[in-house]
Amino acid sequence: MSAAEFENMVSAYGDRIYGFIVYYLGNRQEADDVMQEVLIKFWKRRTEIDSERVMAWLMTVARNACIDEHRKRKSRLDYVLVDDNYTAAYSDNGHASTVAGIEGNLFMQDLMGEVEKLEDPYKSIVILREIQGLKYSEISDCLSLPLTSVKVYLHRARKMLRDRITQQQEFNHAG
Amino acid sequence: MQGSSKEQGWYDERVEPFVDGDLAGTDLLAFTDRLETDKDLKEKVQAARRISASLRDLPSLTMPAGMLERVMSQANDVDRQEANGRSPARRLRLVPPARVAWATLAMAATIVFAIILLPQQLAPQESDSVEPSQAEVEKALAEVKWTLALVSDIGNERNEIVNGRIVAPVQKAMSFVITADDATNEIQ
Repeated sequence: MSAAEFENMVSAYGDRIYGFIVYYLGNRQEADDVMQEVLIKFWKRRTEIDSERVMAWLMTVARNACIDEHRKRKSRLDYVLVDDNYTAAYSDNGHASTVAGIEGNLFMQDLMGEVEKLEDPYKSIVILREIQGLKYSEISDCLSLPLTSVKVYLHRARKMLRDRITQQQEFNHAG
Repeated sequence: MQGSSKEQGWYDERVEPFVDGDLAGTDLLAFTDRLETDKDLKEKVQAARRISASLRDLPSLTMPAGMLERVMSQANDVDRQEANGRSPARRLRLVPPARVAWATLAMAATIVFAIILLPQQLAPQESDSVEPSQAEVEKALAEVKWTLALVSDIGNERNEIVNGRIVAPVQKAMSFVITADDATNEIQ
């Protein structure tokens, strides 16, 4: 793969991979570092990767790097739950000052907090399917999981989110 | 939600498949029937739809400007480091790697020993066998010594220590030959 082909591949899949990393880590600065690491690995291995499977390869490497980063965070004990740059991405709905806008932002913050807490593969599947809109077959390819398992995991993950968000809202209303 | 907890669990498990349109047949009929009368179930379906819609409304993110350029610059550094890490000889393969030469030389010494001296050493007690003459033993001994000297010289030239694993069998054989030689001299 030449440098030009490499750049074309990064242009084609880079945004999707970057989006996955940001939503997985919930922190843009860490996401930038991880993304750079993923692309350097891609450069080093570019001659060995089947051009038909570049997207799946990149997603696998990105996911593993995110899981590693998560582990490092836990060991560092400086777990950053809310990153302003990141929350701004989903909070800026143009109605922040209205009651509905504030309520909507709180809901989104609760929701993203719960997504953040999901274990893998639930978290990866929610991001890939719900946020990034990948097809089940693409997710199956990226995560090396059977198609039926992807659907089952997705339903379970969303049920977990629903249960936790409902509990959170009941707690908020009671408070 | 109406009904027993087992029944409630059955409907609760099917909220997300229903929202995704994955329910079919009798499951779908049972679910839609229940939905008309069960307020809790209706709220769960609404909550599931809201979560799904909220996640789908999240913005698509783009790589920061300049990321690709930074990566390409790092990639060039990686290539340069890899190129510098290799010696010209290795890259061009003009000479074989040193360890191959060591292995070959040690192997040659062992073969020389095995062909010339081993048969004599294996049958030293047989009085009726043909004893090698003193000149033959000395000649074989000299060949082994010269081979070891050659290995040692090449090691000095390359400023490398000969791998003990390779030379050890030869050294062991040499000490055996020398001991046998001394014993022969004493007898004579």
